[in-house]
Amino acid sequence: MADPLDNPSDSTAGKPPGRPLYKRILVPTDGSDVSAIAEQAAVEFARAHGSEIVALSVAQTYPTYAAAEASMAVDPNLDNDALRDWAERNVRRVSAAAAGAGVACTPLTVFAYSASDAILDSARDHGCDLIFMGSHGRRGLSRLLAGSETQKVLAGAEVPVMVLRPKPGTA
Amino acid sequence: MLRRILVPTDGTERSTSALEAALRLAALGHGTIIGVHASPPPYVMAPELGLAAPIHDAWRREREQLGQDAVAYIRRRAGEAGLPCETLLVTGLPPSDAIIRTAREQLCDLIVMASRGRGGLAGRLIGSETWKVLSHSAIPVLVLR
Repeated sequence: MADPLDNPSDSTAGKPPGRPLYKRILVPTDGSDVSAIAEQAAVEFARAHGSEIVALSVAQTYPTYAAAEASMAVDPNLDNDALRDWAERNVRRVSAAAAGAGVACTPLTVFAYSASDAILDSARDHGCDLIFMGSHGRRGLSRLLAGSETQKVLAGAEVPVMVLRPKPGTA
Repeated sequence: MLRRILVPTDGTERSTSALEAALRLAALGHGTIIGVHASPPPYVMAPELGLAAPIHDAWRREREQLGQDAVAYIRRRAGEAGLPCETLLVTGLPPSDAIIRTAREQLCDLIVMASRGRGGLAGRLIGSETWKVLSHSAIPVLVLR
């Protein structure tokens, strides 16, 4: 077969492994079963297509009233430490799965109020050209609520988003 | 690797970025492109009275032509990329139902579609048919702008 570079109109067929279709895949994880499905699929996809992975866990912080904080003898950093530990545990799980499959993985934890904003910012900052997301497949109102972060990512993403749902009956 | 990739088209340019992505994925995995166009049920009132029949017929012909053109474009692009391709026209179902049903019946392992199509409210974050497919599809959906 001719070198695809010689024939730009045929550049889609049989790309050499050095030029994967999607170079860097962002995989947001929140430690849930639903995101585990996306993690697994992303690692598999990355291995098959020669991509690398950026694993992201968003430690979601909540705005607190300064006055309320002052009145409580509580160090808000304790909360943040616990959040960071949780986030790091999540990305370690993805890193381990990626390492097992021989896929390069960059672990990433960020503090943010909005998970969807953090996902979109991280995709941009790290030059990701694909996002893998798990989405809850619940019924009725909770379906709308559970999917709202996915919806915001889909609306704001400049790159393609792969959406995966748990098989019926598994979540 | 992805063997059978479903590409729904509404016949607008919004579907083309999804088609191009599907072609690239299919080329990597020696996959087949399954193109589908779904005509929504007619909006004509009380077709059983026969009063609306001429309008309905004209509408149906127009829809049919649009669907044929839409899937013909997919066949042509798949042919240019040297990929096997099958196309279908589905009528009488809401597009999201038609897409999910076709994906199941055609044993597809991926759906590639645009985040919004021809219809819907401009203010919506994502097209309603796309959102319904995302909420109900058991197989992965790759969403493109």
